[in-house]
Amino acid sequence: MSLIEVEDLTVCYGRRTALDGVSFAVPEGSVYALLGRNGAGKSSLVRCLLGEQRPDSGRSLLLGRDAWRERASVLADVGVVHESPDAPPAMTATQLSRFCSRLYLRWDGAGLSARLRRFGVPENVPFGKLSRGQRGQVALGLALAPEPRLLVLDDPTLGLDPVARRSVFEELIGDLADRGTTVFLTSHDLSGVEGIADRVGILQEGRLVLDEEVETLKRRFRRLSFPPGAGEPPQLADLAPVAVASRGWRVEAVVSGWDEERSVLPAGGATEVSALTLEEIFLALMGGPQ
Amino acid sequence: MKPFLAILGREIAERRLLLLGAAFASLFPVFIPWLPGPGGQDPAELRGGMALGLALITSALLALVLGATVIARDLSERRLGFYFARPIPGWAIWAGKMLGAALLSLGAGALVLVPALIAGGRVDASGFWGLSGPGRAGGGMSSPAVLFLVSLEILLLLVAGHAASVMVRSRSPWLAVDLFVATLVAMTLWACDRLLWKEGAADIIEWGGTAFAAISLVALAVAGLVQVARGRTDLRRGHRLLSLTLWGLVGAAALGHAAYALWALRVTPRDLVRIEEVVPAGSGSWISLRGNARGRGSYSPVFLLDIDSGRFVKLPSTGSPYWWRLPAFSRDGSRAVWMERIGASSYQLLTVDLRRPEPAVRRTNVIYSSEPRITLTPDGRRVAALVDRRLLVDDLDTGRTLAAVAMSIEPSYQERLRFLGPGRVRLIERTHSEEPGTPEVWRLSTLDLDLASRRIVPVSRIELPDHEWFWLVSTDGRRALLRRSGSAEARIANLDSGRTAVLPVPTDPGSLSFLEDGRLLLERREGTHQSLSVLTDEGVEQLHVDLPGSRFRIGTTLAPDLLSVATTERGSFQEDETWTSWLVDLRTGRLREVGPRMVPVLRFPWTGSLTESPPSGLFIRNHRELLLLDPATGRLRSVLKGVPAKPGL
Repeated sequence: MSLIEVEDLTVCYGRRTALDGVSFAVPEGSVYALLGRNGAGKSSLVRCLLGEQRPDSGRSLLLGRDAWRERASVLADVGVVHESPDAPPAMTATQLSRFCSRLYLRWDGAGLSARLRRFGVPENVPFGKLSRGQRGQVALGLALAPEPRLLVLDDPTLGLDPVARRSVFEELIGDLADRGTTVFLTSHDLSGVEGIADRVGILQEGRLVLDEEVETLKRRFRRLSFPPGAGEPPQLADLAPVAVASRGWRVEAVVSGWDEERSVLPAGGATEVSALTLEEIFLALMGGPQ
Repeated sequence: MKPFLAILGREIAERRLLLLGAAFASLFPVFIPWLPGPGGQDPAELRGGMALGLALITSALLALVLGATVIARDLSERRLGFYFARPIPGWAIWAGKMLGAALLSLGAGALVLVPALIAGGRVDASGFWGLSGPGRAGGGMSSPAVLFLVSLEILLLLVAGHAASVMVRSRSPWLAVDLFVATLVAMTLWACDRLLWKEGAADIIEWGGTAFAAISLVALAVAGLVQVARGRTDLRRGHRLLSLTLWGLVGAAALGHAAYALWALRVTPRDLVRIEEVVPAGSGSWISLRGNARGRGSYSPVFLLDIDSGRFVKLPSTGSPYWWRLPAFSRDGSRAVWMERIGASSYQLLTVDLRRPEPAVRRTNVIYSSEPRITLTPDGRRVAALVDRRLLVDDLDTGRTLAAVAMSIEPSYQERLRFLGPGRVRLIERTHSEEPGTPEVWRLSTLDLDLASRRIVPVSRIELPDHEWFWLVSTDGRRALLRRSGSAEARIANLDSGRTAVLPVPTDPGSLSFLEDGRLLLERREGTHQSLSVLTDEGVEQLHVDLPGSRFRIGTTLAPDLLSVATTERGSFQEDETWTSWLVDLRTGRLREVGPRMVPVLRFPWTGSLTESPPSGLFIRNHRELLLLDPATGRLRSVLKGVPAKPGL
């Protein structure tokens, strides 16, 4: 069963199309990372997904229900962390926990408290006076406390230092292991995402240009490095090159059609083949073929 | 419901310091009587008044500030997403936050008020500005009722503050639409109310204003709700939804008000539910009438109506002097004149030529600088007026001023004007001399203006000792009836010669008036007994008629020897259903019943009227039907039937 189903979602702001017929699904128990450059349409998609914004066409289903029409009831099983962690600035974490506990059927207040203590977040300091990292921890704790089936995280590590970023992802991995929560997240922290995501989608100018499992993706992308004298080998075209560039005395190509068993190396034994990180794949795709 | 209560509780808890501040402020009215000041005021009133003022200011300010911030600021600072990311319905977010703000605003006001009340302060809000009006019909509003309406006004400020804040904070081009539509709505209301005000339809302005305020309150609340529930965290989209909802409702209300105003002003005589006053022209079939129309409250339009053809002219109904309640007809019935206020105290004379097939109101160039006393020639071509120590005569056909003569008298509304002919105007004025050391003298002076020479000619002077005298001048301006207040003394005066003769009337002279043929009519009321006497101009009783009932009203002479009267056992002037109309044969004294539940057109159309109605066979049944009696056959013909009144209209 898919906890998120996005069907032909289109959002326009005046004449500008922010999302153009986006469709994808997130199976239960998986971690889906939506990637894209700034302005690619990620925030619009998240707002539509959470029922905060009505799409111009198409629809998004959360837990099988229309997110726009049934937002309030659907969100009882969804934890949300916004791009900028927000809460009434005068409320402390304790007050926020008490307030939110009245909105959900389940509420793990003790777990939230323990989490905040673990990360050194003071529970009786107003939210507005916490550091950005601490606010992020409070927001994440509040999202996890109702033990949601689905967690939606809109760039939860934005503006965090490396340590804080790492702790957010570690927390997620811990919770995922414990509960099997489905996670949908957007992030620019591709190395962090790579460690937890099962599947990624890449948005480019409002279009979903890639929607694939991380493992498959990483299997079919390779960097090939071969001497320039060989020219551009004819076999390279069969490997679906994404980017080709000269690097000193060698030529480097990123290909997206690599098959470990069947692909034939151009320039024979002079070619070096290496795997790519998610970040490298993203950069190659965003840079476009050369 | 739980999310709503959670947000409501949170809003109040977060701003509880405001209530603490209000509690501190409440001490000021309690201690104010002991603070240095001018003194002399009742401490209870001082406390109550100060507490009420402070409470209203506190509530109003808080409503504006909280309305502008509780949701709009969260939206513009992107903090409302916290609520929308949780299982909270949009309506609960809006309602919880706004109700919290409303309770804080009103609660702070109440907190300011309560200690002063406990300390004995007397709060009287019954005459509070803008809110005493709706209760006028019901005899005034109590303080709690006024405070309830004030609370609604404070809620209006709250939701208006929210809407204005969203409009400004969204920085959307819709702000231009808001300003444009708001201007359009304001102009529509202003134009409607100006029209209504000129027509004296104060009730309709009041109803319209109250309804518009109520609809605006609802529209602002609904628009805010739609903006939050449908626009959610998107401020610009929310602004668009708010504007569409708000201006849709408010625009419809403004158009409804305009439509109602136009409908109300397009009133016809057949819409009347209550005919208040009727005056017939001296000749012809035109009458003037005034009354209340269906669905228009106390608005009292004035018409000229041709009872034969049904043609009518609606007249501007306000701005005239208070004693000028119906148009004046020329004696021949060819013309009616009317006055309309222009500027602060000036009046323009309007005329209607009733001989035309389609009579219409025509504005003349005759403008009086203050309230005039006027009279018309029998043919209605000339009008004489006493204004600001000047006697003016204008020709209404040519627009020429025929005379403007300075007078030595100070107009005091104790003057009468009569045309003795087209070239002579008579002015009769009453003065009252109280010079120290001399006996008190009551004086009636008669002066004639000769239009050919434009000179004032003193005609006569009548001086009577002390006391007030009631006086009545005959239609031709040559005789006057004088009746001494509180005594049995009555006289008849010849204004040409200045001679007076004592009338041998009984102990209680009652009311004396002239009959059309020059004889005198004496009305007598002695205990439960009432009667009429017809006297010669020497005061010799020719006829005595006992009337049934305990009260009566005199109508007009339908024919030289036929007088209409109405009698009742117990009724007031407001209850036509208790009155029965009669015809009195002035030769034989025989009474003939015309019919129950009706009154004739009265000899003096209203209390204080200075002009007698000319002969007429008109009767008013149940305040809403006009009937014309044919004296020859005794048959009544319905000439105007208004609509039955509905309760509350």
